[in-house]
Amino acid sequence: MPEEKVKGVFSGAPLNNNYQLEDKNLSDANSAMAWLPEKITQEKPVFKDKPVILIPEGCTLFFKKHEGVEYWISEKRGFNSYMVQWIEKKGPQTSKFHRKLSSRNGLDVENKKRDQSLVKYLHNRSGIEKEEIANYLEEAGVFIGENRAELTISPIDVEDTHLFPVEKEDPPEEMPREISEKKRTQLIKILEKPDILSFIDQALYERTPDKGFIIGEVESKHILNFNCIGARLGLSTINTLKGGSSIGKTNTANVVTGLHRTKKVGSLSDTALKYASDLDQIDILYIQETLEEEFKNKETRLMSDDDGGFVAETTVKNPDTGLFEVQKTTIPVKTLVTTTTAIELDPEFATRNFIIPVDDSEEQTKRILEENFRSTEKKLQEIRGEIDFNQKYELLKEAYTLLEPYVVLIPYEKELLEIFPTNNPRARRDSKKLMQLIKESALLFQYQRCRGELNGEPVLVASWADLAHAILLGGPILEATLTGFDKRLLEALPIIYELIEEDDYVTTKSLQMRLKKSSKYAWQILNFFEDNGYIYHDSDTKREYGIKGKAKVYIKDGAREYKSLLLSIGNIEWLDIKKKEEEFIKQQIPNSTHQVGSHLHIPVYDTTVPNKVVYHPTSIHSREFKIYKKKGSKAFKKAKDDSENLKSEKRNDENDQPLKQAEDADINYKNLNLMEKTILTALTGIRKYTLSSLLEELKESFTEDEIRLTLGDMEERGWLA
Amino acid sequence: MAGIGKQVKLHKFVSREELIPPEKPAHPIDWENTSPQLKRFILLHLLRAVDEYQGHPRKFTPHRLVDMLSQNMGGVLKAQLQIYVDNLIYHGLIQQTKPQKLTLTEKVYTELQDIDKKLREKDPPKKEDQP
Repeated sequence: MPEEKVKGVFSGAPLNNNYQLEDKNLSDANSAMAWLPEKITQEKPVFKDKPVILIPEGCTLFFKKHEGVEYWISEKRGFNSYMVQWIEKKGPQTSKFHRKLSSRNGLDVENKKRDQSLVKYLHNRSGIEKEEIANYLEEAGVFIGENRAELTISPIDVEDTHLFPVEKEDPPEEMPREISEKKRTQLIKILEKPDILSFIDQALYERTPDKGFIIGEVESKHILNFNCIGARLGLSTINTLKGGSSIGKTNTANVVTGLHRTKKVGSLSDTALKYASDLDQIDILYIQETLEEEFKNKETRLMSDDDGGFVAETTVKNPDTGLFEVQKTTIPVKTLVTTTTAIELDPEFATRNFIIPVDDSEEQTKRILEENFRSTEKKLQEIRGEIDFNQKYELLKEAYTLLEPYVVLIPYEKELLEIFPTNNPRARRDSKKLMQLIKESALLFQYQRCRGELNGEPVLVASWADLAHAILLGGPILEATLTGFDKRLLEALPIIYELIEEDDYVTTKSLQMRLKKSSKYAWQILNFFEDNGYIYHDSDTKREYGIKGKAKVYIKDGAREYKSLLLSIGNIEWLDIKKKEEEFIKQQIPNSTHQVGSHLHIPVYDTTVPNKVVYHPTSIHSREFKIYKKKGSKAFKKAKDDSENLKSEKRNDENDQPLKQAEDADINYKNLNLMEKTILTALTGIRKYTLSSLLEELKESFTEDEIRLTLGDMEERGWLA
Repeated sequence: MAGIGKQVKLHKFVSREELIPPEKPAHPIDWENTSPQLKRFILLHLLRAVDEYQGHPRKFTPHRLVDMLSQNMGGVLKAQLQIYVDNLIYHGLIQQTKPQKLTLTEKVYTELQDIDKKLREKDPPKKEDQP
């Protein structure tokens, strides 16, 4: 569908409405802005001892030669804006190295944002001092202002002289200032929404059925979107949507990448990459389907950030000598998105990759079927103009253009060490992935994070909420990458370990009872972990416990004990992380008035809303941040030790102080468990309780350990006075 | 969401057809002006009772709720609690549906938050109590 293709490929409205997708595969030499013809140079004005190159509706000015490369700046007038771009000239070859910047005025009028971008682009490319570039831009601006009339040739002249090829416009980079103030305010409001994830969810869902929409797939779509945002702002990744055929991989990839500057390609060969001259204009390369054997290709593998891009080697005929020569071209690092039905990926590729599993659960199928059978209803709503299906999607797409690149600082890096097992070398790459997700979340939420400037460099401080996003949303994806486990296995393993800790062994029957699934299901799961060496059948244990019959009795294989990333969420001291963030801001960005929030929005499936997901505001103090804490007898024993503080320091039984609910407690009553409710009801009554009298009161319903653990938690959260 | 494990149990909205419209109680009480401490006491007990009754095979009727509240509150007169339950249904904090089922509405949580806020404003934390 050509219309969809165009819509999905570029973000922002190209200024030239005649722009066509097919026209963008142009080599650098075809661009008039990048072309420095020598014929006309003798008669034209001079700037910095070099002739000014005139192009239709614009000109190109020399800046300086630096390490053998000449740098020029090119300005061209468009329909109602000016487009500016740096050009580098190395020997006879000229090339551009960033997208054109569009602004209402030319270089003769100061535009702080555009000029800063220009300085940054060239500084990063060449290493020339920023101040020198800024001075040059000022000088060039004055020169253009004084000679505006002479610094252009009309398109008629061009046609007559045939000096310039007809230029096919690349879409210019939208400068935020080109958006009207009203629109800008509206878009910023979206980026300031604390529940922006919910807005994204709705935007991806509220689309006409024939354009593709996403329902469910919470983790997959958000992580892919995070990585696409990273791509826009300079953090590249490889993303593979993996799953069986016809379960919506392509749809998810299409809808999410459609929000960003994407180029769709069929394959990734050396030649295709080399001649794709528009790679500078896009952030994401979307390869529609990758076959199993293709993952072993170097091209795909070496596109990762670690490897610094890919060097394509192609054979070309030298016109002078008539001999064939090998020509090398460095393909810049791009974020790759691809889909695959392959079951096993090349391990080397897999470690560099975000393997995004697509939800193949029955619930998800039900959700999709329900939506599919609503297509006529939706179409009617669209025809009648009752619902503007694409509105949120388009707004989001525009809002993304307001996101700025920042250096993201993570105040709690050291604390993250705890999460990763040191006995698994893959953790090295996965730790990087976690950091990447934290940074991307911070970039998406940049209007809600602490921003500042250090030595002229714009910086952004990642929040505890970004870590929570990375773990909650990225956890299942990182786990899938690390272990190859699917969701069912990931959920079952901690339960198996828990059963082994409680009873010293696990059998099909005990697992079946705990999981509340069929015995066949439990048997399959145990079988998988036995095959993979995580547990093994132990006849001695079977004998010791007098277990009769054919039942297999499994115990843990210590060597392969698996440490789940998701389990670590309960072990993270979230309040400490938040404190670190606050201290970091105070120290590094002293003038900041930024207040670190204590809530984030966590997605939960809810069948009562159209997109089936709601995002609950959840406090850092809530149980949600402790849900993965080990339960069971061992955890309580540990909790008893922890609660020794409570017992010995403040509320020891000898010095039994009265307990009551703190008046300033911030309690989310929706998230209370039964014991918390029971304790709170006791504390709100007329009778006054101390620790010992409360233990006595509740001993029939709960164990002492459980009560002490809950009281410890409640005290930590500031609920008790 | 799968990755998050146990989630907040969402209040299930019942469709309007099943709802039994609340009747004016025989003994209306001024719920608005009831002391915040008493309100908190009743509402927390309500939350606890509903949680405790989950998974119980028998239908959750107002009569059973009164029984549970009385037991949990240490033997408060059932007749008195019946008045409160009738009034809470009337004020929309508890919903009653046709197959004899009781559910709590969002109002319970909002009211509890409002009470906390009110009590905080009335009695702000002392400086020495703060960490």
